Amino acid sequence: MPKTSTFSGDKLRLARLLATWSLDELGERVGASRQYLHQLETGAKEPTFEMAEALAVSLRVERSFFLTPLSNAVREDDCHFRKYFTAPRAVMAQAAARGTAVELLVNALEQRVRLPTVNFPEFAAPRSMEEVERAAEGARMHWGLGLDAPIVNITRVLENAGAVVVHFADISDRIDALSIARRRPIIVRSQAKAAAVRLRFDLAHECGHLVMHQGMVTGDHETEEQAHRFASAFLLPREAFLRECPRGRTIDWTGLFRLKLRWKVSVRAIARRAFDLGLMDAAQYRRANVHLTKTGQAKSERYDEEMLQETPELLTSAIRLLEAKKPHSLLDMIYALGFSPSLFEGVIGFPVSAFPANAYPDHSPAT
Amino acid sequence: MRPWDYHPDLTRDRLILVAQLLALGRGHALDRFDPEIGDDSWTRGVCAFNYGRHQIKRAAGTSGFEWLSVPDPSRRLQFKVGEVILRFYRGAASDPAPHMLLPTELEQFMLPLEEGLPLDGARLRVAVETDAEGAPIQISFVAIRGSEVETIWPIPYEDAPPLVVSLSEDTPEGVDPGPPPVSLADDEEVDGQDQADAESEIGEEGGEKRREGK
Repeated sequence: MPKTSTFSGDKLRLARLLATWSLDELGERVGASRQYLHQLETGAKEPTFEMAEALAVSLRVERSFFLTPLSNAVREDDCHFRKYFTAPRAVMAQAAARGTAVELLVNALEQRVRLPTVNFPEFAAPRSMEEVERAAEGARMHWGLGLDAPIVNITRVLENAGAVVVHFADISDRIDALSIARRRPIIVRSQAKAAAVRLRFDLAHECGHLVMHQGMVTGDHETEEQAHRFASAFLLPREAFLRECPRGRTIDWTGLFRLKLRWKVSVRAIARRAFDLGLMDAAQYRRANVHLTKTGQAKSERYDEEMLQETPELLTSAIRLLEAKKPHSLLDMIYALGFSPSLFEGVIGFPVSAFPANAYPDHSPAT
Repeated sequence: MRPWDYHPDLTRDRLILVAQLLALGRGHALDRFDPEIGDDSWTRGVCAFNYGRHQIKRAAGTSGFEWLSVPDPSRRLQFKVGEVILRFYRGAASDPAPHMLLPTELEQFMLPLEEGLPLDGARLRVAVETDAEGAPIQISFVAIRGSEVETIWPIPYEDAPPLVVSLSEDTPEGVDPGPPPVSLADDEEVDGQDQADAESEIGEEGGEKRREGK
């Protein structure tokens, strides 16, 4: 049987992780053993033409996908994960694969579409929480957000600063979000937890990693605490918070929910901010958390449903522009990437109308 | 009996809101209580009553409180839930002060509201029981007939969602940076009008660009 040449094992691994399959699960689909597939992924063996075809069909890629090497893949160490300690390695690898796929796509897209210039301030490796507060305030000032008003749409802030934000519905809820510090930062958010306030906080958390922890391995207690504090300070700058947060011996729930509606931050996070800034003592902070839990608001709070979800726009706008003005360029790009239509739509998260019926005769068109 | 057995206007949700207003007023009094400047239990009691009265007066007739009115805003505050007059006091629900047992002039002049309802002749109160420091430990609906307490119904206000009133308008709003801009990398292949059309299309896709808003 003829053998394929220059088969990229890294690309096979990437496609498998994008499909969220284990070696065993892929083996069942293509009739191969786990050991054999592992050898393909490590480059110890090359597949037959028929096996490469079976792998491509199963994994929703073109055969050509395996014929170009994967350079500069996103490794798990490149990612800032939330829930690092509890997420299994396999889930983290799948998330990193999503990041790699998005980066491949963005790199290809940037040859055709101009995206916003990357413009993230850098406040490297803060040594105290005071420095974290200043980093958050510095980021606000850098992006013209001031220190006295809520952030209307944090997704837009990050995308205007050049980051690519993507939501994936099928990432395990054991990862809330991750950010990838690359030439163009990528932030991947799981949609498993849908409350708008939590999504905003996660994006602010990832923003903190990108601003403070460039080139650092994160996930340890200290860097997570710093990113958490950054998110609090970025969403609730202390100057305004000290002015607006109710204080006193009793917990003013009216005031706290008023703050939630204005600043679009959960009451739980507001209570934590009040505790961090000395507006609540430890007993009050504990009482606040007990009350939220007791009233069934541990995960989903009152007024969550009244706040609209923020949706990423950058990738959508870029692809829609290409689709409208240069559909052939879009098809060329997808073909060069080696993605099948359905995989491409899976990565971007929305359907594309530019696929002609005969564009990919070897595979079913996306539905 | 329960409050709504006396009159259907006395719903659970309305009484919870009344209790929350009174607790809010009392909370404000406790927050400001300072023996260093001469506060004692008397000033605390005066403030707590007056701040509670203020909350009732302020909320009456506003959005969500259309059923609440204040026919007597004096220091003997009498307020109405729907058609029913109530007063409030600090003390044990089972042992109202003598003046709380007596009907007010307004109550005396109230005609029987509807036949078949047991309200006629009953005086309705809200009792705020506190701990030694003045913090509310229970707020109850109390019905008095003759000189006897006929019904005590503890209002479950602590387990209810907290009050949220309208937002203040004197705080600055945030800036919306608008959708991130994108354009074709190779402008030469798209003339200016096409580019403008395309960007217009993307603008519509991405949502209307706003500079300010919530």
